[in-house]
Amino acid sequence: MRVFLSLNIIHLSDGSDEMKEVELLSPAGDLERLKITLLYGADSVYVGGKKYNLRANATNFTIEELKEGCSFAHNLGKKVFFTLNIVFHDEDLEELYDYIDQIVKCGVDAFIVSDIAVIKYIKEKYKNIEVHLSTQCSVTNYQEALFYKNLGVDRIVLARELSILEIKQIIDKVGIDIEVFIHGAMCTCLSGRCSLSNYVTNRDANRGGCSQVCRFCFESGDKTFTMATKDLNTATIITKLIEIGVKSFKVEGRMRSIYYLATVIGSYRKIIDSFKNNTLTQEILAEQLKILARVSNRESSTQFLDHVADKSDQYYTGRQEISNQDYLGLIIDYDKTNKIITLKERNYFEKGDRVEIFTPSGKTYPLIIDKIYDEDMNLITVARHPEEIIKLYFEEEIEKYSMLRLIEKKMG
Amino acid sequence: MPLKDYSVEYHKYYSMEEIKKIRENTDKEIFVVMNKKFSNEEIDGVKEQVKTLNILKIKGIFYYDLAVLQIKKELNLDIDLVWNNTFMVTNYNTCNCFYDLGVKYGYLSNEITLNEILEINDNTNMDIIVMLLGYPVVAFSKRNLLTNSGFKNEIEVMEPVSGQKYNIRENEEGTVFKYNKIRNNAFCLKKLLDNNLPYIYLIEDDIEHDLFLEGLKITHELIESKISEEKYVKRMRELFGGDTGFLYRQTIYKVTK
Repeated sequence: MRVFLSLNIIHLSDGSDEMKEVELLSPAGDLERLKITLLYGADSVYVGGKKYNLRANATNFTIEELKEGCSFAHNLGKKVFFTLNIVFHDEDLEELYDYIDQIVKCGVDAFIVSDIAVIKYIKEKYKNIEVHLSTQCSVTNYQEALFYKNLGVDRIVLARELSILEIKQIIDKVGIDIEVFIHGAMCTCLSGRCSLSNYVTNRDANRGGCSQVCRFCFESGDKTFTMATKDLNTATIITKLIEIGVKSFKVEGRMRSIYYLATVIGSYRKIIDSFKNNTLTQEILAEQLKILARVSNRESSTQFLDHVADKSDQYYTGRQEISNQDYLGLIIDYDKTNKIITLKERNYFEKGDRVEIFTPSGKTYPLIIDKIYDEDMNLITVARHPEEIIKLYFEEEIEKYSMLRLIEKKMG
Repeated sequence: MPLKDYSVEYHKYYSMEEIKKIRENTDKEIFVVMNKKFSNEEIDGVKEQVKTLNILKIKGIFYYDLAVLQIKKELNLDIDLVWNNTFMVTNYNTCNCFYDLGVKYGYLSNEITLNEILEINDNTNMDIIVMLLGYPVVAFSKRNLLTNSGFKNEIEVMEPVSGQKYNIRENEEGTVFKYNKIRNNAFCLKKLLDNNLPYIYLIEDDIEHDLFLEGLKITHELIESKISEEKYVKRMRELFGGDTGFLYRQTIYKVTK
């Protein structure tokens, strides 16, 4: 008998089953994000093109960028999933199928789809490409999952309103790959069953224009009514989801920064890998929770997964978001001869700040900022301009795409 | 008729016993609404209800959850279904796909334009249903959004920038948002009839009963050519206001930077 320990759950398993391979799935709003998040430990990414996806206002991918992204991923033995999950209107149909054919040629491994006509088209024409059912369809029971399985769907991204037990029942009864959201922003309403954005701002939520009206403040007489939800964070219960047979663990946020993605993916990678090799301890979990908390801009909870979501999962005083300035910059080069890091700066830092370098391979290096140089190696006292090239002396070789984050501002 | 415990977003629900009684006492076509997203635990109950409705020779079931279609196929039932995916019934291509899978009717989204309605009706074999009158449903949440924040189970709210008002109601199934203006599509009824649209939907929920009956009566009169379109539209506007929603207003989804 193995004993799995997480922060608030002691979980027992007979250990007889070989743990199935699981996938950590990351969003990637553009090519840079795709590369970074794969390097930081995502097994697969989901991306959108310039058309037909639910993040119409993200940067998204051109055909050329998508080809490059697929090659990059495949060279690492990883996968790219393409979102095609809007609710189509007649005017969208004219170019849709040509567009799908173009996307297939880029080398994507799967489409994420919500429309049954699109599912049928892809499955009939492309036998080797998977179709994943979007959470937009809010599948909540095994009978509906069975319908989609019979239609040829390879994987279902379940509704975010299900409990762990309900997810297990669907896995056991249907026998289809199941994907579950594990981290990020939540919708207040059932996915696909909300047109608040259409009514209040004339922006079509189901075609990628959601204006997040559920984070607005409403008036009710002399009171304020709000309905915004806290974010989802499953770090303390993800081991249970692995044990019941969830195939893929999805992080929300195609519009999130590279720092956010590197941090969140890095943390879940660490938790999943430690669990797989039986080294997960309370200390590791506590450390990762701390890291996740620092990068988040809202409070979080486990939402519906282990309780009926209640008032503790919501906010009541309007938008509750804090700007995070921990991310100091991206390391774009290391000069081995002179032991110099080249950093593309993001946020202000100065001599005396206690910082940490974290790398795609999961290493961390603490340091206190001493000498700061500009691009031409002139000594400067502070790094204050976003996108400015900064150089720092550092003894050990640092991988490209490592990042610098603030731990503590200098005293005084 | 929304079936109690198996439908959401309505104000009044009917038990199976009530539906049976009404079915026995009328020769009119009866449709039953089962538009809830079901849990695993509810599936056995859904099967029983669908089987009973099949025996009752109900004209069709409005469904949101594809579990209903799966059950119809599994049990090889004759009963017809209405694709009622609220905001997602927006193109003829998908309508035709569901038709090929054995779904006879489609209840179009209220958030599409008149031109889109006509185009869908022209290009599908499905029998299309369009809402003519009623308070449009705007959103549905599984959360208890009112009691969670200390409100009673029904309130009116205003979004201060747009000035729009919404009625929010909560019950054990969750929380539903409805626009507080009645959608009145009477302006285009003649056009829909000329386009051979087979069904229009008038939803009484929350509309004063006598007012609703008056609207129903004159709508019949227009269909039977007993009153002019001009008179009909004028009277409907007097009774229910003139909100045409998205009929002549296209939504956007890409924000220009």
